[in-house]
Amino acid sequence: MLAFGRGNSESPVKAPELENKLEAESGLLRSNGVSIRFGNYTKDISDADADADEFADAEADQKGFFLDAERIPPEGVPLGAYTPVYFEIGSISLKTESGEVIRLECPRLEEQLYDMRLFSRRGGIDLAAPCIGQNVLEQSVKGITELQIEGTPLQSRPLEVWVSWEGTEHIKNAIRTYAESHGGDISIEEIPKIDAKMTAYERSGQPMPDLVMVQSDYLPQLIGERAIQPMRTSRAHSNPAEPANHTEPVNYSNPADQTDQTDQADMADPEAGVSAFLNKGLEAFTLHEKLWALPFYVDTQLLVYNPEIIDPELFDAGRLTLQRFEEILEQVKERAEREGRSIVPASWNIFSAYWLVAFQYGFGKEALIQEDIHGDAYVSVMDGPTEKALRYLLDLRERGLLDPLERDGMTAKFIQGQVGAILTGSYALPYLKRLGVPFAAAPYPINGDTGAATAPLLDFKGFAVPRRSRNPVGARRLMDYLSSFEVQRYLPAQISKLPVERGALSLFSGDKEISAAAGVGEQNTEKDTYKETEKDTDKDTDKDLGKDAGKDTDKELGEEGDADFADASAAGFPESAALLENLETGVTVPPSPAYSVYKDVMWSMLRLIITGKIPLQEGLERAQGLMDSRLEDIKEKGVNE
Amino acid sequence: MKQISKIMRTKRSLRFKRSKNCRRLQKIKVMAIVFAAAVYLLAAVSCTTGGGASGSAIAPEGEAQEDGKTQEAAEAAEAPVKAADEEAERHAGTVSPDWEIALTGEVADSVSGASLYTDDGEIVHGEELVLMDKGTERTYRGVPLYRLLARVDGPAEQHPYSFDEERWKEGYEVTVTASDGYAAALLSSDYPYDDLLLALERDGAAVPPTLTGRELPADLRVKSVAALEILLGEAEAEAAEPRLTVETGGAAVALTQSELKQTPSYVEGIGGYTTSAGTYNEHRYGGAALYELLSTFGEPEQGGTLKVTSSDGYEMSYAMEDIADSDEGLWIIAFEQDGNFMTLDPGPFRIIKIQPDSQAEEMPIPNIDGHNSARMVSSISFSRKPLKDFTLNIEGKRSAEVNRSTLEAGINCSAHKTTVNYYNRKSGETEYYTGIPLYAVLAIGDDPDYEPHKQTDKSILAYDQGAAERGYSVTVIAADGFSITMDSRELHMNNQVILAMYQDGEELQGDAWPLKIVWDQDADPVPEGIKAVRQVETIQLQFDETD
Repeated sequence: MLAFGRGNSESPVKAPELENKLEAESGLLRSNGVSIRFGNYTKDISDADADADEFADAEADQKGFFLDAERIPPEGVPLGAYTPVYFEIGSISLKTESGEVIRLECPRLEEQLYDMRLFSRRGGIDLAAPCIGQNVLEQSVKGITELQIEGTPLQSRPLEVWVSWEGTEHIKNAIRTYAESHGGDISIEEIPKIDAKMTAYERSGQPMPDLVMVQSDYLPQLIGERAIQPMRTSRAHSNPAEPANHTEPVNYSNPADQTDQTDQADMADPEAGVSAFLNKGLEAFTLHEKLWALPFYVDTQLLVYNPEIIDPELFDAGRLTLQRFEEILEQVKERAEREGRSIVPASWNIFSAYWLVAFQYGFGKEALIQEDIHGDAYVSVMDGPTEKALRYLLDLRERGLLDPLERDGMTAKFIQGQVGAILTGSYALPYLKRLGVPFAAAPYPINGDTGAATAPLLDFKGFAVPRRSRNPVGARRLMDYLSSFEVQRYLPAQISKLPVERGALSLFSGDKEISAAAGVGEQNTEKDTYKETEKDTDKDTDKDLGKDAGKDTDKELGEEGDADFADASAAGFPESAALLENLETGVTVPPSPAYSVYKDVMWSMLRLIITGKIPLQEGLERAQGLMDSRLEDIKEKGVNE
Repeated sequence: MKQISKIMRTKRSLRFKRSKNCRRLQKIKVMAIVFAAAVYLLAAVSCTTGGGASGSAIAPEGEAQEDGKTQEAAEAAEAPVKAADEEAERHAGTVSPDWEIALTGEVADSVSGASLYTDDGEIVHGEELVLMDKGTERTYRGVPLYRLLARVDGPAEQHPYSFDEERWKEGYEVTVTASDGYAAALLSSDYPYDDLLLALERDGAAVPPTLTGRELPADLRVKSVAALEILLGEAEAEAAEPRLTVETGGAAVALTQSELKQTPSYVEGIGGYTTSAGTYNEHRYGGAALYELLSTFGEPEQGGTLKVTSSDGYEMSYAMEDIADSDEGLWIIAFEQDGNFMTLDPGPFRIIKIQPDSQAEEMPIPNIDGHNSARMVSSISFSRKPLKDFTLNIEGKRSAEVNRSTLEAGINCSAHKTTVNYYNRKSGETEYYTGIPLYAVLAIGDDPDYEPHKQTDKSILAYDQGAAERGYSVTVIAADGFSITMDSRELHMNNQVILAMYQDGEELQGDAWPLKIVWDQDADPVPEGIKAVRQVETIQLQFDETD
């Protein structure tokens, strides 16, 4: 069972796990803690007036439990971990020590249960909730003694989740934790190519899963196949066109966009709020002005080098430039020749357009995907920046500074200590660590001539709900949990990714004030205490944040499992600084068919150019012709062709 | 609590006979997908709120009323607006019935909000349902869902629609999509068919069309319903997944894309082709290596022929010897293009020659003629009969040697493919020949500058109509030297005189091979001097010196 009770008030609320907790807690003194009750609507919320008698009225037929303040670790606990999963919440009433009753009626509270956190402070309990204040510093109600939720619990139905890419074991663990908290029947499948499988299932009419992991460039295909559905959520409300700035403070002002399947549409605040997520993450999953997935984590390209070959101090003289990078590579080459060692200064897969994009930007390209006067997306490679970027890379190769190798070959040479620097995705880091390969990471260089950054591609992964899901709301609640601060603060770091939830990202970006307010981060002086508390409460609570992290010992490249990342939630990981820099300068993998066309065409054309089978200019002309022709086809035939 | 009244209905079983109606089902499936996609994309592009789906998504159709009369199309077009105004006055609610719901199943249909009300403002087939909603008893009134699904749960029919109760109980998936894109699927057999209601009113006030039901959980009570889609089980699934028929040695097997992908013959690589207009196309393809695939049914003789047939009637033959030769690329039957399964055009299957990934370093990317890259392929068949090549010589203002595959492509192009009933005087019987109108072949030699299909500028016609109307001599010469001469004016736009390559659907045999001039027994005009010329080898165009 995923949730408790049924949709109608005739059915009693069933929460066996929570009832057990209540029973377990019953022997405790209730002098310091909060009574939490939850249940169905007992009356039309529009008729209800908040008063203290509500609690007395509701007590007779509602379930709940007492949460002792001592059970709450310093970093707090999410309210959602102690409640049923709700289809809809009309209100959350809070009674304070002074007897005052505060009623939260923010729209879509049901989506925010995992964003609401209970903190134990000076013997009392505070509730921090997105809809209370502008940010976590302002959003607490102090001294809560009683909390009551009124709404419609979600009916229990099975959920099927498809996951992919790196870190699936950690994702499975997080989902299992959720299932254990809520008694859910959740099956998790690991699917190598989710887009292909969904396409096949959609076409053949086979039952779809309820939640799938996607990357941004899946969207055109999946939308074209009518395989996924758009979503509206208070947690992601944002204007994707806003300039992205991951250091922007968490702002949970009244979320709008409430036209949903609940009856709260008339409660919507038309003023837009600020998303809980990075804008770039939302951009990655926005197409046709609609959001199709919630971001989960972001991976980016990194410059990784061997500190035994390249002195880290060489990277310390301010922001690295391409010109400085060349000098460093020259030094590596000269030294290797002098010492008679078989070392390649640098290597990466320049056959792939995925790695070319950064250099196109570095040589002055302003946008990879452009729009013509009709608003149709296109890509131009017949431009100065693209030509210069390619000539630069070919020149590096000619000078013996760059050995073009595909991923496996490049990684193998790096492990063997035969390469000074590589460009790789952060997915490779756990693998290198596990093997004990010496490495350090640096952000991508900027072009000293143009001042432009070589902008790495930001590869966002997220979760989408299939159009034919039989449990779409259950899927969204699970998605809310996975993208909440609760999970975001530890899980992405475990697999060398960056979180996409602003609060969690602030732990990495050094927003000390917010981090401290959240009770976590290096600034938290109670960090050690937290660890002790965590150990003590292992048996009692399943929500102790990544306690199983690092136990997995996957063997394949890209499969994480490094114990050093287990505590990543508190201190980030060593490479996070480089990742953050790249996050600032990076560009999102566009969810546009034009990107897929670009990637496919350049994939074959770059090989011809780099291997010298056709001259550079001719290759670009040919690529442009192919791309134009295929985009024209797409325009005529639809997104799939 | 009031109960939904029981409604008499006709029980029937409409087990769809796939073998009998497969073609029709596929056609309907395509229509249905297009129809539902319009709603999906509408939700994707413009998000309506509260007021329901935009009426512009799907043109309103004549809507059957309770009395069985069908409105005229013109009335139907105006009805929603008119009815919307009336309903706005009639109901205290603010929701106008100016909405439409797309219905997709075995057939495609739609229903408009206005059509669900009678002139008296009553809901057609209206039923009532009382249920608890957030602790409050609510009375919903609307149309039973099954009455809407009855329109699409079987072959196309007219009002009164019959609902397939048996099929509902067996269980099929119903996907409900709201105007804002929210969608949820349910299994029909999980709910009593008469428990689900498309509510149009709540406590007497109009609401957007909302799916509700006593046993329906809250998250499946979808508001502002814009589309209802049903997946009708096995027949639907089978029809939806494209199959390639492989015929060899007298046996035939139909394989799906996913089945082919699981065979050892599956391979990926890059392939290119150049259209007759000179446009080069290159993609990454995935598919089954043809020779290896055919080998799984027994070693194909290299002297044999592979014949490919497309769903649009296109046919192309390949020498098995060429298919087996992988020195310059691997012939595959592709079903993936750039990582995605191909859609109906150019897919679901396409013949292409690729550079396999495993040989990327050793082999250039193949670039074949577009006519050899048959698309929309539905079947491939192998025969031991060797493929015999031939050449047709065209001599005129421009001379050309037209090879077999080029001529075969031209004949099998749907714009040219022509079958005539030729009366054989000797046998006294009518024979059926298929080929290309002779005048279309003249286009190859009637102009020194423009070859057929070689112009990117579509306004340029390769066939010189003016010259044909002015008149020139057309001489057809057989391999044994026999010849006839005709006047171009009698051949101009004459589709009944053809250069035939097939008789009764089979390649010409014996002394008729490879090409034969024949004409329809009803041809008008029958060109003066025409005779049935077998073994055609050369066609000469002789112009006046002034032309």
